Amino acid sequence: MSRLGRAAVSASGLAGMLALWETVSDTGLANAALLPPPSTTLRAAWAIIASGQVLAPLGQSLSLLAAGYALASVLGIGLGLAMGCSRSIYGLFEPLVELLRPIPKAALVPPLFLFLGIGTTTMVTIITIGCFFPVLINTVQGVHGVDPVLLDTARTFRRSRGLTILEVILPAGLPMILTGMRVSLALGLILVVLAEMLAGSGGIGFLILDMQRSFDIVAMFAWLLIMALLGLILSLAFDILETRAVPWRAH
Amino acid sequence: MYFRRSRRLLLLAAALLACHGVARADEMKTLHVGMIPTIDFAPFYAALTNGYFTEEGLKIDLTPTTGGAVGIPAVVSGALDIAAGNVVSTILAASRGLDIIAIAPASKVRASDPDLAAIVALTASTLHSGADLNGKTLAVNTRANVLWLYGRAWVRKTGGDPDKVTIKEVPFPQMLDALKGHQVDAAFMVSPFLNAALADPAFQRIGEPYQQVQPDVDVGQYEATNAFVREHPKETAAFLRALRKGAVWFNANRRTPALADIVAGYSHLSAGLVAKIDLPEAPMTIDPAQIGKTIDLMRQEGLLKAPMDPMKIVYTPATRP
Repeated sequence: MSRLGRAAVSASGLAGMLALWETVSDTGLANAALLPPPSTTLRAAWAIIASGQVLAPLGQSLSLLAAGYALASVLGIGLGLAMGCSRSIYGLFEPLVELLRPIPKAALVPPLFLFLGIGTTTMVTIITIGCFFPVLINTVQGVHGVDPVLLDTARTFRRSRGLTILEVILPAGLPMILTGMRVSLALGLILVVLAEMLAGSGGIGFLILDMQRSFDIVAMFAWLLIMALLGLILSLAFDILETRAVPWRAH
Repeated sequence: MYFRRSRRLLLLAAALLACHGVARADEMKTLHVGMIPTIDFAPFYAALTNGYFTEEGLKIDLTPTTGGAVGIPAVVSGALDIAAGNVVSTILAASRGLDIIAIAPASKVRASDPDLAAIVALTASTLHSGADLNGKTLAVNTRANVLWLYGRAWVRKTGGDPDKVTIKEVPFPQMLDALKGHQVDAAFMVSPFLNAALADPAFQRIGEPYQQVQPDVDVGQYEATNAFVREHPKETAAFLRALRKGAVWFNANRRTPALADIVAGYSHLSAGLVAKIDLPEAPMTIDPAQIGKTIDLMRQEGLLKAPMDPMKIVYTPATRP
C-alpha cells in the first residue's frame, strides 16, 4: 500500500472513532454531562490553546519532564555503559536493579512525597527514578548486543577502552538505548501528571484534577486532549531525532 | 470434560448474578453507599450499627470515599446510589448540569460548636491567621468543596490572599501525619480527627472558618441522583426513615459510650478520645436559607458564575412524581 493509502486508512480509523464517540454522546447512550462529545471537547481545547491559557501549565509540566528525563538519561546511559562493559560493575549493581526495577514507580510517589516533602526537587526525583530504569536496562542490553567482530576490530586498531566505548559501543548500542529512552518518555509524562495531581501546585496534571473536582467535565476532557496531543508531539519529535541519530537503522 | 463442567459453573454463576438484580418484595434491597469517616455522618453509622436499615429491608454496601467531590461522580455514573457529600460539591455539580440532589442533611456548624471543624497548625509554627498562610500550604480533603471554599474565605477574611495559598488534597485521617511530617503548613480538620489533634500539645487551632465566615452553615449532606429517587421511591423513603432514626438516636446518645464506640470504630481513633468530644445536635432538615448564603459565597469566590435557586438541590417529597 502506498504511503498516502496508509495515511488514509489511519485517518479513517480515527475519524470513525470520533464519529462513534459523537454519536454515543449526542444520542444519550452515554451521559453527555459525563462524556462530552468530541465537538464540544475539541472546541474547548482549541479555546484553551488559542487564548494562551495552555502555556503556563504546559511550560511547568514540560520543564519538570525535561529535567527528570535528562537526568535519568545521563545516569541511565552512564551506569548502563559501565555495567555493560565491566563484569564486576554488573555483578555489583545487578541485584539492586532487579529488586527496584519491578516496583511500579507510580506507587513510589506518595511515600517519596512523605519522605522528601512536596516540592520541585521531589517531583524531579520521582521522574528521574521512573525514567532511569528503562534507559539503564536497554543500555546494558545494547552494550551486550554489540557485534563481537566490531569489538575485535577496535582491538586490532589498538583503540583504548574509552575510545572503544565512544566510537564503537555507543553508536552500535544506540538503537537499543533510544528504544529505552522512548519508553522512558511515555513513563515520564505519566509520572509528571501523577506527581502534579498529588502536589497541587500547577501543571497539566493539577488542572485535570482541579477540573474534575469542580465538575467542569468539558474542561477536564479538553485538558486530557491537550495532554494526549503533547504526548503525540513528543513522540513524533522523538521519531525525528531518532532518524537523525541512527540513520543506518532500517525502518 | 473439564471445560464442560467449568462452563456449566460459569453459566450458573451468571444466572445467579442476573437473579441478584431482580427486586422481590420479600427480599432485602442493596443500596451502594459512599461514606466519609467524619462526625458529620455518625448518625448514618449509628443507624447501620443499630440495625435500622435492616429493619427497613435495606442492605447497605459501603464504599469509603475521601469527600463529596469523589462521591458525587460515583453517584452520577451509577456506581453508587447514595453518597456522603457536602453542600458546595452538590451546588457545583448541579450548576454543571449533573443530576444530583441532597436527600438529607448530615451536619451544620453553629456559632456555638467550637470543636467540629477548625484550621490546625503546628504549635511550633508562627501561623496565626490567613495572612500568615500566604505562600504556605493548606490541606483540605478535596479541592472545590465546602472546606476549600470556606478555607479560602477565611484566609481572605483574616487578611490573606487565597490565591497565594497552595491548597493540597489530603484525606481527613491523614491530615495529622501530614502536619507532623511538614508536608503541609496548616490543615482544615474536622471532628473526630480535629479533636485528636487538639488533644496533642504539638498542634494548635488557628482559625474556625465556618464560625467566622458563616455561622449556622449547612455543611454535610447525603446525595443521590433525581433519577435514582424517582425510580426507587420506596428505597429512598426507607433509607431516609432509617437515617432519621439514627439521627434521633445520635442526638439522644451523644454522651454515651455506645456512640463513642461507634465513632471510634469507623474513624479508628480511641473511644476514650471520642467520648470527650462535645458533640452538637445533628440537624433534621436542610436549611435552604443557608444554602442560599453558600451560593452567594461561591459566586464571590468565583466558583459559580450564575445565581441558583437553593431548592434545586434540596429533596422534598414534592419533587417525587
